[in-house]
Amino acid sequence: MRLLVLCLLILASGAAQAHASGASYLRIIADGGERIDVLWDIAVADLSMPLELDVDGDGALTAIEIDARRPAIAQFALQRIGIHRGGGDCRLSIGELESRQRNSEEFLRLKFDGVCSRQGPIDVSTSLFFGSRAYSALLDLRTRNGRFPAALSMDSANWTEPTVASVSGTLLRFLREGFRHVLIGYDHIAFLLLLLLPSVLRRTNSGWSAATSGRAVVLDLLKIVTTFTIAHSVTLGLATTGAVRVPSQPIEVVIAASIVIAGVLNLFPDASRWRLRLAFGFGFVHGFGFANALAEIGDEGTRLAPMLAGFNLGVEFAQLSIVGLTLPVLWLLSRNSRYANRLMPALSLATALTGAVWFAGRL
Amino acid sequence: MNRLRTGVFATLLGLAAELAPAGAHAHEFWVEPSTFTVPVGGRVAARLCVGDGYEGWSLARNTQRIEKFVAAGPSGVQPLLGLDGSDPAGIARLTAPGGYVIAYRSNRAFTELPADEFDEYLADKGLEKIAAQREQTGAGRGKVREAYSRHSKALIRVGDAAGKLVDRPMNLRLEIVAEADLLGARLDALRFFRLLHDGKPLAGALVTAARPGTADENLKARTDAEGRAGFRLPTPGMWRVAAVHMIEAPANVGADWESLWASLTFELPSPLSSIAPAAPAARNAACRNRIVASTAQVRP
Repeated sequence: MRLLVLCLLILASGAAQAHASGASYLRIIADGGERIDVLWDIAVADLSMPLELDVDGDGALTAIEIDARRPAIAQFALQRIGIHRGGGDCRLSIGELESRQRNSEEFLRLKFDGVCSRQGPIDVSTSLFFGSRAYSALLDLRTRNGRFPAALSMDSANWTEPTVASVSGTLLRFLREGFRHVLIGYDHIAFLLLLLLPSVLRRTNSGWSAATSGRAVVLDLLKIVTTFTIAHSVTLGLATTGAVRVPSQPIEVVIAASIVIAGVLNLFPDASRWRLRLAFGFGFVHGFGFANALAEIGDEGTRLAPMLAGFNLGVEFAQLSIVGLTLPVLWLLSRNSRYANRLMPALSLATALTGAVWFAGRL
Repeated sequence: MNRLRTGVFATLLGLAAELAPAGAHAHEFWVEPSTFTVPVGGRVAARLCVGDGYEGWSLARNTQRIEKFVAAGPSGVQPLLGLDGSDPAGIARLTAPGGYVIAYRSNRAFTELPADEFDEYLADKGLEKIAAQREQTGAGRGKVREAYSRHSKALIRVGDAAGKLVDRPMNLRLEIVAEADLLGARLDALRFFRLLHDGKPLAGALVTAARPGTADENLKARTDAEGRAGFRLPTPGMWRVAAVHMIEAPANVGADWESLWASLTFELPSPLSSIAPAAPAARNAACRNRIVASTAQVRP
């Protein structure tokens, strides 16, 4: 029981962050003249706390509350962006500010007019991460040299335009982003762990018993993880290229539901035959979850191939790292009968309950 | 082995408790200057911070909320300047040597809490009288609407780094005032603070002393009949002394209760720094460790 409480506490501690892996969307258009256009979309909910937008404290933001603070919002954002060109500062002035929807979420689009005194590669830096390592600024820089997507975060808050648009550079940048996205995405890790937990066990007539063949375990797991990977790669590709558009809110809800279902199924040995189908089915949904962030800067299909490939590879590397680190530990734990009888069900239940909390919070 | 298991369990539990997201309400508020020691003519930037323990974030300047945001010292009283939305919220150049007090006073804002959470918050802040009053009057279990305002100060030394660190009343509705020179005693000496409500001593209030940006346990004391509370502050660095007072909200305010939040921040230098004064290092703001995701929904 103590173990269950501990698991719940630890998992619940990530609950807030699991939902706070947000992003702002920064588009910079520099056509070669001294003027540049900057469009920055920031979620209203993210701005609410530091700018105290909820004046009446009722937990809901109205257009009046947002309108009253528009100059402050623009100033707040302006302080958190720096653009240089050819080593010289670009002066930004506040332009229009308008509301718009992104993935069913309310955003403010801030327009800045920039004047850069020098020519040369553009350098962008930002500090708008709301104190969260899970938060990204997704950059879409368009210059005469090409289009440069990039992701900025607290750990990498500065980006400089390469002299030529480099496919390998984009691939590597997004490989890192894909890796990071899995490691900070608690819900994805939770689902993956739920697939892993019973993988070191075998179903018997009386319940679970420890698997005896390590090779069989690895092969079985490989099958499940590959199935999951294929499924989410398909939807990641479809959604990022714009072939399919699904709003993020229902996807987030279904991802939370997938954790609840996977956790509960782990309690029933007979349900283990469903794991492969579960991985395949929910793999599609998790792919949409990954794609929602990338889709916002990818509306030109084939140009996004290196970005998509890099991101997907990063996701796979992260998943394999988790499997590689976790499986030996689970294998050792499973040599004790208490793993099958107590620890595995307790961890599954705790994760399922955490999923239920996320589910409720995302409705 | 059992002890080891218990220890590991306790450690993980503590870790989980540290990581667990705190409620959005009942966080402390304080003014955090970019530095507590400024050369004559130097600039100080002040952040408005919210949080508890390790967790904290800064609020942007909100001109709709500021009633007073000044630095008072030997050169007089001057406003902390900034544009609406700026973070740090205010900047001032301090031109005369001596002690300055940065004072911030907000107007009322509002919040709503479910009754259970409100009762927890009352217990946490030592507001048992209000809890008893709610019970006596048979308060319902619906949401509780509260008006709150913030009254915070920070102490700065300008010029001579070995000088005194003295406080003064700044005409805040709820105010913590350090009684004597905070640097006039050994690091582990008992230091006294007075809690004033509308300029008069407030007795029986819970006062806490904490080191923002750390997971250190808060020190707690109750004010005596003269509004005094004493603490031994054994560690050098930034300290925040804070208190909350609650009253029934006036009829025209549109709330059930009104709370006043006071804090005083200052820095106790390391004893070694008086032997070998070092150039002031850039401080990593304690209130920028983490931000809690807002739960506010946008109403169509």
